[in-house]
Amino acid sequence: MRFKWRNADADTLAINEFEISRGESVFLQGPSGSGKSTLLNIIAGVAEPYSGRVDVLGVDFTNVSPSQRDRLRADSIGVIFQLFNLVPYLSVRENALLSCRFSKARAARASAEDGDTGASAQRLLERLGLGERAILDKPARALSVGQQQRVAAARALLGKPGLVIADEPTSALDPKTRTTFLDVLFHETKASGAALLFISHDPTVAQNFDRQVSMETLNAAALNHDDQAFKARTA
Amino acid sequence: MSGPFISIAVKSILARRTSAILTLLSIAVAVALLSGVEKLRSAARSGFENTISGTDLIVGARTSELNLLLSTIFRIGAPAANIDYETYELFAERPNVAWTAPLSLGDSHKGFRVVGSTEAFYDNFKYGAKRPLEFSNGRPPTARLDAAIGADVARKLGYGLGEKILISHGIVSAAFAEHRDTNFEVVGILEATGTPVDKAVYVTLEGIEAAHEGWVNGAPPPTRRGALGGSRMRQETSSENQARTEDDHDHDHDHDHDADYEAGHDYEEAAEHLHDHDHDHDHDHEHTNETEAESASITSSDGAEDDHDHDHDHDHDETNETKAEPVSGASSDLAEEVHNHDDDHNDGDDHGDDHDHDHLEPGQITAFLVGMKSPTAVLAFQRDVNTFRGEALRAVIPGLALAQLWELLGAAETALRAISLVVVAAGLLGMITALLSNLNERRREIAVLRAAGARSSDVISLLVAEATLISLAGAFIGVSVTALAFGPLAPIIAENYGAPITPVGVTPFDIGIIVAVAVIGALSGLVPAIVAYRKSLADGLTVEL
Repeated sequence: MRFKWRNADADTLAINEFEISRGESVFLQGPSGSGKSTLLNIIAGVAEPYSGRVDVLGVDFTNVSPSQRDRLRADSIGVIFQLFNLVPYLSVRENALLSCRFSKARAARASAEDGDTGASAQRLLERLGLGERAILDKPARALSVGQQQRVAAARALLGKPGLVIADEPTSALDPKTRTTFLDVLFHETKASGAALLFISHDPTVAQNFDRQVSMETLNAAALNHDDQAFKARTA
Repeated sequence: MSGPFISIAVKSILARRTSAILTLLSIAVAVALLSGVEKLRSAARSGFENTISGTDLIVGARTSELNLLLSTIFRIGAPAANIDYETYELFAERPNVAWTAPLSLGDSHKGFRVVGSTEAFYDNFKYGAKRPLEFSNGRPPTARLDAAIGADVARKLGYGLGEKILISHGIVSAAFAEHRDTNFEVVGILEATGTPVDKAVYVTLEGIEAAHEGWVNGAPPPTRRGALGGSRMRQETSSENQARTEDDHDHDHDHDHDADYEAGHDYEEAAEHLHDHDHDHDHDHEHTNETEAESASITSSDGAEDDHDHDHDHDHDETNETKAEPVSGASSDLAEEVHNHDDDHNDGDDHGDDHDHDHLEPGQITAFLVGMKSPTAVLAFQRDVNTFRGEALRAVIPGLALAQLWELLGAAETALRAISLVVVAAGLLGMITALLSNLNERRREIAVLRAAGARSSDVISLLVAEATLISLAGAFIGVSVTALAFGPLAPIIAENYGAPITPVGVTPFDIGIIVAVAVIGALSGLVPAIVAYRKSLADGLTVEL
């Protein structure tokens, strides 16, 4: 699978093979600029490689329309970012429920589990330490980055997605909260049988995962890319 | 998937409420302008079309159809010339004529035009949906010094029945040229019509003649006088020449008072003067001036100064209105001259005999209104008038002339409408700008929505929904403001400008504006929406700012 951004000279990503099984948790490590974010975009169905093949949850992403990928993402993928996870003008509850808003399937699964989507979100937020009513109705922008991160986790986990992608979600958390955060993440993904792709350059949490993968070994284009960046800097 | 977007769009707008409210206000103001202009336009049009109805033809001296209509019905500008009363009688007696109402124009009272007519006018003049004139108080003028006043005159000048009023020569509002010895009494007040009828004082034709009788005139018209007026004029001058010397003192006296008049003194003072002049025998004085001015018309205006120093000065003062008053302009000069004919004429007839008014017959009138027995006779009558050999006449069908005039005004109307449309467009452009300028700071927010499952088309929906909501709310507020404002304003506008605003409140046009602005707003929302869509494709889920 190869990917190149528009207007770019060289490939950002060149991956021969990378597979995550259902229910598996994978720790993907790599420095910035190694193509982690690009890989995230491809797996989430927002970016498309120009050659090769991407299968997500049994769907050939290289063979379906962007809106079908959007649908699959809404239904079955949860995404957590390093920063800026929430819509600032929506409340904590609304942000957590956003994924159910875009996907009936997800809403149905959340309701099946907890009675209704609201209860499901409430449960997840409580587990992440954000259960107080006062927080639920606050606008997202009033929360600390750590709190926002946990709301994002609740949103990503809501409605039992088949795949959760987390892009450096713990970098803004203090050690204690980080532990809770990871516990909930593991517990929920295990419970729903979801695969977890955890992208981070923080090796201290790596041992909790089923498998550790380094971006440098995964991405054949990474060396080239860094090389070029280096050349550009020294030229 | 636009369902979830309405509430997200509302919250997004509220989150950026400062720029949203400003945008909304600019659209509201634009829409209020558009709706208001439209209301005023249709009001103006119906007010305009309601000005006269039930009159088949207006006949006056030959001029443009427009000028005839404006001068007789709207009382704007001056009539071109007068027509002989005999001519009027000739046409009035034609077989197909149901009624005629002569009009004698050219005088004013405190800025309101004076209309001399007969009872036929009050019986037959109709406005709006063939509504007749009615008197809220009193009766039509019948006697020589009776006057009726329009509703506006009554209201603005605070006149009631029994009020004594003076009539000024000419149509400028300056009071110094009042017919000083003619004291009219208000005997009737007309019901408000919302037409120019409200803004006039009505007297009998005899009243107009009487007003000019004994008036201290300006310069007589050196040209434009008919054979009749000319000969009478000559007669007067010869008969009055001997009175000149003894009058010189009076002239000076008058002169002082004239200064007072110019300073804007009111009715009481005018009445005082009236008495003064009764004592002073102004007739003589008038004729002196005529001689003076006639000589001036032959030589230069300064040519006759040797003999008549006093007279001359005085003459200048008195003729101010005709000769030196720049405000009155050329057209009113014409009107003055026309009336000078009448003055001369009356003086010739009635000189020195104030009591003998019964044979006071109008020599000339300005125009007359005609109602035909059958509509089919209108065109034939019109042709006969227009081809009449005795005098250069013009007959206009008011409905057609009104339509013509409206067409002329239509350009202004279109311009006004175009301007308000441009203002609406500016408001919508402002909205596009505001939405676009927000986009950069919204890239992360859009990425979050995308990550949570929003399709790229949902990004478009969100921005279009925001644009639609803002323009819809703006249009709604704009229309409401106009509708509410015109509630109390409508009666004031109807009263002052004769433009009935109907219906008050939200019209189908307003609904149309709201729908149109919302649709155009939605379409303009596509601009930032497509930009956002493309940005979101480039950004993916990971926005790096």
